[in-house]
Amino acid sequence: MRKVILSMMVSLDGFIEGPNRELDWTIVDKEIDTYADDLLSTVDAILLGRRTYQLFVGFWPTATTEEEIIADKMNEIPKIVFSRTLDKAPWGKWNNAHLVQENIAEELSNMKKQPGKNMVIFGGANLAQTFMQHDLIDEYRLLVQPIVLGSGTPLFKSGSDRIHLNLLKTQKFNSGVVGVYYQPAKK
Amino acid sequence: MRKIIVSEFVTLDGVMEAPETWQFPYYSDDMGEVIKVQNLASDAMLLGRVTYEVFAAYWPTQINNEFGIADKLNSMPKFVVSSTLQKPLVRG
Repeated sequence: MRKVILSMMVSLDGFIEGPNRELDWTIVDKEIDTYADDLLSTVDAILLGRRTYQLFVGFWPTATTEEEIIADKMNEIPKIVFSRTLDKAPWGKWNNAHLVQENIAEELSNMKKQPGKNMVIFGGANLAQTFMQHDLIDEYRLLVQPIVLGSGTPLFKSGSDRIHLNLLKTQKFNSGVVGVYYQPAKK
Repeated sequence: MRKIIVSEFVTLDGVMEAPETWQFPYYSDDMGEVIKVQNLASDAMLLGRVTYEVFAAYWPTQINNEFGIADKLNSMPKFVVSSTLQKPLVRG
């Protein structure tokens, strides 16, 4: 079955954005570009929450591969946007973002049963937490940044159930970022 | 100058409390080696009150150099930071 991969930049204290939603602390360099490019080569759907969609759609459709090596992939790979409030989800000339407004866990569960490559979630704590609660995430790829933010939006919701994980791989980046890859342990 | 090294067990979501309730399944010989090397390279241990009480109830009874660190851990000076403890439960 195709896997749902969660790929996130996270601070050492577990936040995915600062208290004012700032992302200025994340390290994006050539190595991270290569990481993202490799990951995107293995997927045929990018899963986005509303806020991440709005952030991405303001950037990627006008980006070119000369500036951003993953631009073509970001634009050409179909996007699934999960939002109760949006009524359409354009994506420049590609127009390949599909909106899912209801029953998002069920919809993703159905998508996983269809043939295809893996699917990736970039960003979006609410979406990630919803999928975690429904046990729909098959792999966590966390890029731990060398910073303690102190406050912000946590990746893991306080008070949620334990998730037992098996370590698949670690990856050390020259910037000081450490990639830790896990899959949920079989119950 | 001497360094203060913070060494903690921590969950992926940043919890470090009560490791005795979740950490044991992940203990391994190579982790034990890291802890041992780290302990042997230190000559003082800084503890909060709760950790002190957990440690004081366990380590002084380990006389056979358990995990390769019991002797060192028992003989090295401990500094316990607490506003409530009146005196140490054991000498150390």
